[in-house]
Amino acid sequence: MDFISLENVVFSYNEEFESPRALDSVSLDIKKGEFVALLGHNGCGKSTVAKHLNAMLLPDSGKVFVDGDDTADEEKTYEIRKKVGLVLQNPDNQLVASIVEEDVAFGPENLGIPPKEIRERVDYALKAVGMYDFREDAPYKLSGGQKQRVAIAGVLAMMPECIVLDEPTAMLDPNGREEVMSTLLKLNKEKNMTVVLITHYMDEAVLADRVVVMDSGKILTQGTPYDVFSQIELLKKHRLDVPQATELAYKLCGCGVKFDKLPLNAEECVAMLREVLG
Amino acid sequence: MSSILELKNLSFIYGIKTPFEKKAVDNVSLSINKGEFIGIIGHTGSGKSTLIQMLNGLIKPTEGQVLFNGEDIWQNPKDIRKIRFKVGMVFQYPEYQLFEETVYKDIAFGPTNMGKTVQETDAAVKKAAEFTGLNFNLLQKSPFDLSGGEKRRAAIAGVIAMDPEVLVLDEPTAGLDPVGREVLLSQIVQYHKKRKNTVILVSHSMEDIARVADKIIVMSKSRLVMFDKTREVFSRGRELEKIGLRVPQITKIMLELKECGYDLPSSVLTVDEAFSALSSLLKKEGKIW
Amino acid sequence: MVRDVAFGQYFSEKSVIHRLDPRAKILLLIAYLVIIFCTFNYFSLLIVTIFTVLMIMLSGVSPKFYFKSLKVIIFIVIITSVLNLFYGTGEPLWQWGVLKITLNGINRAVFVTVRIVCLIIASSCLTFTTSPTELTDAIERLMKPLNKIHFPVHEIAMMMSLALRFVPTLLEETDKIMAAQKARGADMDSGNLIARAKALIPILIPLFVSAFRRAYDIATAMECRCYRGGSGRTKMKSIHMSMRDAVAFVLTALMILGVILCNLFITAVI
Repeated sequence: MDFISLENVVFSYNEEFESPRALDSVSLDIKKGEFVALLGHNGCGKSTVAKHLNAMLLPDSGKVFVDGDDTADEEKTYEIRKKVGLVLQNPDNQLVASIVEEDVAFGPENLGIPPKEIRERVDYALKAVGMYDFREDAPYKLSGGQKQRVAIAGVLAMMPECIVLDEPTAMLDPNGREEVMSTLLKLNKEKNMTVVLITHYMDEAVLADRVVVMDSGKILTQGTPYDVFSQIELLKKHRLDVPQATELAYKLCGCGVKFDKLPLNAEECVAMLREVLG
Repeated sequence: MSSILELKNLSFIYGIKTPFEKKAVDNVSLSINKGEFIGIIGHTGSGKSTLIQMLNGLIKPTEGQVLFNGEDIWQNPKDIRKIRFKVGMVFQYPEYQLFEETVYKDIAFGPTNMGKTVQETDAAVKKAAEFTGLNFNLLQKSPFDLSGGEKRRAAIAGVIAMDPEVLVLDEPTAGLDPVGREVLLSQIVQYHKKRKNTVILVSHSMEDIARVADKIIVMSKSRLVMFDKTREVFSRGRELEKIGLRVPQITKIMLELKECGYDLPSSVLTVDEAFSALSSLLKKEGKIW
Repeated sequence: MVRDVAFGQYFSEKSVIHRLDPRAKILLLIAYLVIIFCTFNYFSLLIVTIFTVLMIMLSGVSPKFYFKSLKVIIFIVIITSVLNLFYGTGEPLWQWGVLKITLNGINRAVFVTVRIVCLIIASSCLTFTTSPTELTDAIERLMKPLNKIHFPVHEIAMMMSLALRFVPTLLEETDKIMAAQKARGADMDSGNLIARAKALIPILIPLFVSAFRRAYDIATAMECRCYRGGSGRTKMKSIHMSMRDAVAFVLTALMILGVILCNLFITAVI
């Protein structure tokens, strides 16, 4: 069995008012060490999926298993939240302490870890996100990207096996976004951390191993970034963005230019076009 | 063309005579013409927020002048409130400023402060709601019952309702999803076309700026480093990269191809432009028909 | 702006006072506050003053910041000392109509000024040298016995530390909302009292709405990080008393003894 698996998960926020289902029979497997990007519009159900992964929400029907444990099993709730850390969108609203290192210690403190080990974990986590030098600063003095990295460290200090991030870059400037993305890639590559990134930025999704596109509570399509972004018609129909590089190559294909696959970023596109132009 | 806003040697220093003294805006001079659509780009902390807040007198410059229609806005400090009706300012995440019982009353806040009559205010509210694509049946709802995107539009309508001659928007699309961004941006463009006033848009999205702006102001380290037509600014992609700014992906691709020696235009702003330039080049070389 | 106020700020340094157990600091501050109001002659006042100066020097925080926190209450100090100046009893040294200054009045003014200044400096010293987390941690531990009567000690300490954490964030937010409403022509600087109070509504409502939204987010974030109340929690920075704290207690005790002796053997001036 995969590390996380969702089986026909159905969920509505409001059962009484026949509102449309937030999740409509979603099945999804996430393997250990994988970097998965979950893409879609606001209200497509992607944040709802995130909250199912660490038992913050429980399915109305269907099952969610984390490392073999059913999230509906109340005895396992904290075990699951320890394994799957969740980072939220607004960096200001998830830092609970007035000093960076004390905030990072919050999770391990809740788990009842001995003080000496907390210290080690906090130092490890802050170094992993490159915020060790700021450990004694006040969170409000940090930039958005730095705050979000501290939030990631706060989750890392719980020694999770998977980090789920719910639009962590939506409120950041381009530099902050880059800081967060390179931190996540590093954690995934070097520490083999499983990462589930929820985003609506295409340029972030192309960096993942697998992209899952959601629409109206359902999974629209999934696969490697190349598989997903070559379905330009489908993405456009659902008014999702496509990287400009991909779109340009797709248009050129339309008038007879041959590419092995569609490029996902500027470098690839330039290289491919040079080959075509000769 | 007559200039509507002129900045003369504008500087602003934060925390003057304290240990935290910091020059936020350093000797900026420029002139913005009536009816132009201006983009402002620069890093967080480059001074662009301070700069725009000096345009409507929320921040008083330490040195230099802001001229609106040729007159110094600080000539009579008591009248500074009036300039805020002429230079409308939409801040980042403007939905956080909503406070009234109904959307209607919230949009009417600005016009009422201007001393407009009930009829004038009513007309202004409806017009603003129309410009921002806000459904009229939402007007009697509480602003806190709206969806995220609707709240944003209601807040922007609150500024447009003052019918300013210059509309400044600080990252109006921040935090919205692609559809939301797209819709809001085209509404702003429509507004600019119909109202024919001056719009100043601050954004981190180079793709958005490339699409809508006539001219771009580039700020870096408190200074004005470029102020030119959009195409000119983005043709200096390497210089922008040096100060840590990007150009749109498509512009970057075309710039790099051009640097490899291909016969291509020096500044491409959209995918369609790039496509037509490349396809005609390929046709010329006989690679496609 | 509100944020320039130094009072309540924390400076992360490594001074002797920083390294004292926060519980010791709180207890010593209470003892100190009692004793400054038990100074009745200039010798005892001098002892307290020397002790205070010593405290500033040992705290590793520039005296400039202490002055800054004094600035906030300068008016209270001036008003109370002027009032005291004219309310003394005994032979008038100077008189003009009903206003008279007596020796006793001068003494009272001096004492009240020094006492308030010392009070502010000592309290600032505590907040300057103790991080909010340490502070709430210490309060939690000092109040622990109250747990027996089902007083929610941990919950209150957690609320305090969250409140302290969000003070700067909410101040920043207030600035932003104010700017946004001013941009829509809100007039906050003129009009009578009622008009000014009304002008606060466009600021206060968004601020409350945002505070609630934040509270909801924080609750979610805390739950995600396995927070489930105080039981079973450990602390990274465990606080414990050391030799250093013993020395601080002895020094303070000596100071208190000095003040008591002065009071016993030297006549009171107020």
